[in-house]
Amino acid sequence: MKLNTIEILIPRQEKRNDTQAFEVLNERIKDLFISVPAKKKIQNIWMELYQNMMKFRSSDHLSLFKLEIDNLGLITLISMNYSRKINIETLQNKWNALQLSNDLKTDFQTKIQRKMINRTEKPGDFGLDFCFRYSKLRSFHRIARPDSQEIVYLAFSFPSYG
Amino acid sequence: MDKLIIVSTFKTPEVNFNNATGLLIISGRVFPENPDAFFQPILTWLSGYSKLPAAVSTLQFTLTYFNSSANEYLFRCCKLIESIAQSGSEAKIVWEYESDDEDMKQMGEDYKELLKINFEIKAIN
Repeated sequence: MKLNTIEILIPRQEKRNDTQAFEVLNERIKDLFISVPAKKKIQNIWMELYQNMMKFRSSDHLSLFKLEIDNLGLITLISMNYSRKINIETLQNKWNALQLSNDLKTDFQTKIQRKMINRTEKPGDFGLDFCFRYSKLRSFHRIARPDSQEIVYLAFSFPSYG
Repeated sequence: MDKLIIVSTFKTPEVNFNNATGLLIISGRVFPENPDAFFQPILTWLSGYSKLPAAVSTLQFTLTYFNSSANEYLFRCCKLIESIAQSGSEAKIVWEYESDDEDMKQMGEDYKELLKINFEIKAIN
């Protein structure tokens, strides 16, 4: 039977590397009735979210990755994890910049060109840009905790067709 | 200068650079754990090749997936090939994508707009 929701828990002290994370997702999405292009989009966003989670989350907490397909065929990928406030502030600033952009493509091109010219600029830093490029709708929430950390909730949606 | 051959793994592409024919192929998935370590020999090889290229150089990408960390390094490879074209030699980039992969096609188009080189985008099945 095909499913319309999958959840992948990322345990405390996660030992999976990127390859294993990619394989876990590939195994789980076999249970979904979706097109090949939609699967590719899921892989793309999942890997960016996974790497982001592994970089910024608090490793002594569980993280959750969830995929939902609604009745209209909209696919939503959600990640939730504990993180230090300072990391979430950084993420929030990047998010706000992308959210305010009315031309993601030009912004992406400008950023990559700038990196070619300025060799001292640190490499990478395109993860959130990729998630924005591959999705149509996005959500960002912060849930305050009493322990000086926060839960960060990110969601990216795109149609399962076309 | 020798050819550069790197065997593919689950997360790194096959690299087959032939300095005699000028055909330089990167194919497969690209999400190395350490992109800097993976791409450094490729960029070093291309930098050397760009100083004494074959009569015609073609950098061909046939990628099924690459992550955001690899993005910048792939573009750096393109810039080195662009430098060959700018120095007067014949050089082009071929960007192959699976015909149902609109995101990969879009990425090729974004690169193409940024480069001053013959850049061909081709769908494959």
